[in-house]
Amino acid sequence: EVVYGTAVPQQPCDVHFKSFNLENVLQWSPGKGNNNQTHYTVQHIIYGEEKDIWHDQKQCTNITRTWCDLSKETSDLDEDYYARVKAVLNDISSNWTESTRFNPKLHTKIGPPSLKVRAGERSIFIRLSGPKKWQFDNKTKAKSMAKYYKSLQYNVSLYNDKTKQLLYFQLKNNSETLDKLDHNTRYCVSARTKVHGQNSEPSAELCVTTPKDTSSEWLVF
Amino acid sequence: SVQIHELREYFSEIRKTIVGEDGNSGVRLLKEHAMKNIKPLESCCFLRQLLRFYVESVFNRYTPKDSQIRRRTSSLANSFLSINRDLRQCNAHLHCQCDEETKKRIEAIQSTFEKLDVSAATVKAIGELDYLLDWIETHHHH
Repeated sequence: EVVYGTAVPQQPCDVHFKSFNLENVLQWSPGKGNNNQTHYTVQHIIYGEEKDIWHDQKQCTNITRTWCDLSKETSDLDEDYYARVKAVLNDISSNWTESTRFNPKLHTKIGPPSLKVRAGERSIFIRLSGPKKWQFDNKTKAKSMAKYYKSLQYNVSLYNDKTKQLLYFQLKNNSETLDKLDHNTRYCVSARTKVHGQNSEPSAELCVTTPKDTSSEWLVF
Repeated sequence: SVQIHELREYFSEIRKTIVGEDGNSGVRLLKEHAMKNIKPLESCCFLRQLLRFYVESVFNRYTPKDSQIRRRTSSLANSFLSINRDLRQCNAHLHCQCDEETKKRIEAIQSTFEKLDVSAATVKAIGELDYLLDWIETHHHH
């Protein structure tokens, strides 16, 4: 389309939120034919805001990149949001392209938990935490996602390196001691977060070895 | 009797389609302030009224062409009826008469709903089921 001899940029496409542990980033693809001279402007609105006023994004006005971090603007978990993007070239704007309705709490991808493992006498102590919610700054202590998801639980796997046996179990709270294990055996533990029936990626695997059976060494013949 | 994750599963299969059909982003039925700070003694009555609103005013008047959506919304409607039967027992044990404030909250939701054209209103109400399911999960652990 040409207006007074200057091309009108194609509107952006595939405007969507990509969210991980409630870090909500809007992403889009350039319209067909748009080059790196094209700039983009982003706005957002809260679902249900009656006056239909779209909010400008200072940090995402006239930008050349194709993403915009809207974590702060979309941090109220009781709200849903829409965002929209337009392309600007030589001061001529395209139409807006809108995202679908974004529900941060529902649509965010939840990461694996943090995992600590310690071996004891024929036992292993496991402590799980998080994952940590994204936060604006590092001044305040990062909160666990468990605070926001009542149904959050952990799926744990325990691998016995000697017998090659793999055991799965679920943890609702964040620590557990597994006992009656084998002496002098290497165990590897990994965990996933589960919310609303969705499992996260597995955490890094942590391996520990239970101590030898010292009682047998004292037997006197 | 009814598990929340069942309701979430029913709704998750049709959410994208239904929310996508709601072209009116400037109106929200289950407003945040209507759903918050409900006195514990009132939560039973509030939920009963809200579920009745969904069964009688929303699902009854919602006529989707898509068979899967029709199946899923009828599963949701039946589940709401079942929850309401459970809640009826709360009449015997708990105070389950709505006070004025709770009545006003429900009336506000219904009046916003009635202002919209029926098809748009039913799509919007069903598209907002996540708010209701979150509320139930927080307040009732069904």
